[in-house]
Amino acid sequence: MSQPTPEEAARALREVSDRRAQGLRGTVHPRWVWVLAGAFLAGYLAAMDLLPEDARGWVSWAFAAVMLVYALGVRSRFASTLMGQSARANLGSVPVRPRVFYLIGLLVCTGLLMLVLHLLQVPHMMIVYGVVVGVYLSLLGPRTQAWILAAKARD
Amino acid sequence: MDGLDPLLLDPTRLAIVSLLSAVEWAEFSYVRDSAGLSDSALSKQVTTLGKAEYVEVRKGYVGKRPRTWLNLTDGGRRALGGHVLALQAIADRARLDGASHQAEPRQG
Repeated sequence: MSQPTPEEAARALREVSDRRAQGLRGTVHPRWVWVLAGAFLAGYLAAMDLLPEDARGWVSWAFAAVMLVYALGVRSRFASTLMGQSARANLGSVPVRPRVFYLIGLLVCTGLLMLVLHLLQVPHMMIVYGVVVGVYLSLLGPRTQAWILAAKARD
Repeated sequence: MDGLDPLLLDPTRLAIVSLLSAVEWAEFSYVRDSAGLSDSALSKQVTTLGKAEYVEVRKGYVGKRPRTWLNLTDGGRRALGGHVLALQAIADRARLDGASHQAEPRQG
């Protein structure tokens, strides 16, 4: 085969970039996983708000155990496929900067929401907070994940 | 053809390897649909890439359904990286040549 012309080389580079972006799109969790995560978090925070002090410790342990199982499970092909994922993002492929921006944004939003709820003296603050976060994860979780992954495709 | 990989000069193989470069693994069916290939066409390309040790194939079951997963090996990632750099050099050289021609002062 002969050496590609500059036009062919430019076209091949665009193809590589487009295919990488396409590959990453397959790694976004399906919406039902986000809805389940939102409901789970809202349920946990409601339990922390409503249950007596001695029961909260057990609920927290159960929450941590479920998170651990999820974190380990999502790394396996079997569990990921069960969760409807066609591909898994390369661990080193997601850049640090958008993740840091996202975390800072999340912390700022959380702080502001807590402050507003506190100033308005809303009863059952944790439940309200859980519902807000749960709705956010359900509606915007896939889009947020796609946004973070797209930052890699733009690299 | 410094850095250019003859295997990756084929657009279909380049598409498959590029797709896999963004992920740790991908299901065969996902790669097939994304690349717009038939089962047999993808199998053939995967066999070629497998012989060059660029792609690994793993088979398993989820429930009763057989599944095939593909992943790019470290060798495959290195080959794609070198190929992309070589393509970039070709595209850049043409751009620089064009710019230097434009910058040449007119005679007379």
